[in-house]
Amino acid sequence: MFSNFKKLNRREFLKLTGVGIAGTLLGGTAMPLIQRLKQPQADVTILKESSYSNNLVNSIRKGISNYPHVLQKVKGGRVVLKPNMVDHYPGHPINTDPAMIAGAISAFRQLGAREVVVAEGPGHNRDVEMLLSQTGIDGVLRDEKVKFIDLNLDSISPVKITSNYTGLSQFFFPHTILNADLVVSMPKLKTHHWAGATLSLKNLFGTIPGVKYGWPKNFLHWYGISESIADIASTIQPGFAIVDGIVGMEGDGPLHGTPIHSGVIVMGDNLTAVDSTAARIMGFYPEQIQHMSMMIPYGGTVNKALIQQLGEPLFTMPEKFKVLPHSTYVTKKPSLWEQALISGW
Amino acid sequence: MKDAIQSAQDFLLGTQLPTGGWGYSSDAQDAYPEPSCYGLLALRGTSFSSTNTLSWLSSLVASDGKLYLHNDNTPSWASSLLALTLIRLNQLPEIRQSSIDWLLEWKSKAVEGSSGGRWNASLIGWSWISDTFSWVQPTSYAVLALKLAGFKTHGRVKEAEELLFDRMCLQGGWNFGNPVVLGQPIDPSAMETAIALFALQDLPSAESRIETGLNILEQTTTQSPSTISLALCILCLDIFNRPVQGYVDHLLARQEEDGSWGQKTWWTALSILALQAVDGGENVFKL
Repeated sequence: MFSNFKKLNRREFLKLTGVGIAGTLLGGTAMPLIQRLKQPQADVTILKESSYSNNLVNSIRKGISNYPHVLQKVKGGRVVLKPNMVDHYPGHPINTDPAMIAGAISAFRQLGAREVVVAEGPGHNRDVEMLLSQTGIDGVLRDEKVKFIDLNLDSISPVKITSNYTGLSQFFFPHTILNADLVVSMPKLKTHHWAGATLSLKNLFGTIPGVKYGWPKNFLHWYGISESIADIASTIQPGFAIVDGIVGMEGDGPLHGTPIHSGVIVMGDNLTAVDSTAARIMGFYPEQIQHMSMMIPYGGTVNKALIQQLGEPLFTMPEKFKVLPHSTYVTKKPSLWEQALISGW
Repeated sequence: MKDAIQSAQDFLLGTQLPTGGWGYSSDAQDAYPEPSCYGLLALRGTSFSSTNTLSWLSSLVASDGKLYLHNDNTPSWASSLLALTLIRLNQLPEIRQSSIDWLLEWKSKAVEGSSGGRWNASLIGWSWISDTFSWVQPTSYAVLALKLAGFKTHGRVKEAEELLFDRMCLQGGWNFGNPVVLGQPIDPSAMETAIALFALQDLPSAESRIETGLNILEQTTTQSPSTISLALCILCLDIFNRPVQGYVDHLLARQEEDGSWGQKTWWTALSILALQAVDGGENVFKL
């Protein structure tokens, strides 16, 4: 586990820094070190929202409006909202709240989207009719007259992986994702018992189609969760993220954790920066979350100094999100050396 | 009932793709083996000609029996469904045989040890994709296909039966194949419970675990009915001679004006198979 940089093995170090063997270990491209460590400036919007009963449309619309080039993609375009819809255990906030999805649908429509669809490829549950009903998302789809697309059963095509940390060379992706004008990752703010946190990057596991890879998408675990997250995200490059953190999940995420009222929506067009910000709100150090660091060579921003917070200033929850004993590495402050190397400049 | 079946079959006929197969929904652009197999089975006994569909399916199968999706170079999990379908239709004997041969050869990865002492990860079954772990649905369909092909006592089948029982949820029934994660139980689901029971239907010595599974199937379907859960529940309960009328009524109530269930071809085909089974027809999943 990449939880302690000092334990990083040589292979992983070379992958991250670009020193030494270029090409194969570095996702197929020999990027110079300077390019690999340089992170772009990113804007992340933090909005405080206390309840799902609030008028989320205005908040979400206000947030999206901070990103002019995203607005350009929305106008006249097909927007695909990709929420978390995984499973249903009453009392456990596993899925993106239907009110968030409804708010996003309306916001994007008001901003001129030609079409808004909701799409998800649940990881281990093939019965989406049941999931949509249990989660209440079917009600939103009916009320808003929005189509739901099961990404697991969509038409698919192979795409060369940009970063290729897994070594797989290609993934098959659903056409709904490949042909969208804007893909919006809409995760729930949650801990994850293997990945540390599951946010807008990890949410993209749901774009991997079960018709080829199965239910669950176990091969992603065989080839490395962090590696797979980075490969998926670097390849499909969703244009926006909206993190549902009004009620998040702490403890044994992503399924059995407990609710925590975090009262926040985090948005932005740099998913790594959004996730890094969300992780900081949770009381975590994103530098300790491997898949976030792996995104650095592919346009991801982890360095706090390079993230401009719009809306509310960055804050950390008074009580950090609880994690399982083996996940406490996410709350461990990295050394100056680790911060410098991973966060770059 | 016959009218419901007829209108559903008409829907399937109207959604067949030019390639001869079916996609998963009425607006699908591409055909896939799973809905195509269910579609073929659902249209047996009608005037529908299976030639084009069989031709398309056979084009996906290599000489070694492996089935590949378009543009893909790794074998698909749908081999078991294809084998089952060809056995039931008594079609394409060479492809049927090569699919069976491939199923016998194809093994999931094993992992030493167990998940918190709860289950045995070294048992070998069938995976969704090569070089990964075994899971309930692909293992169950492979077991069912092999039993239909006459391999009931084969070592692979016996180990897979042991695997399926090993992966039972704590309260009974099955989910995708992970009963416990980090000490937390994962609930059973109707779909996987029904499919696992298809595979285990001929094991009287395991009666109490099967009885529990059937009870779980009824509970989960009643609590969270959906087209898939109702159709598979009916097919499964029919095999075990349990009452199905309530579930049939629920399923029929969900049929839409165009004859489909949710404009989904695979839901519609499975619903046809369920209704046919209880209407005096053959249950395609019954040994």
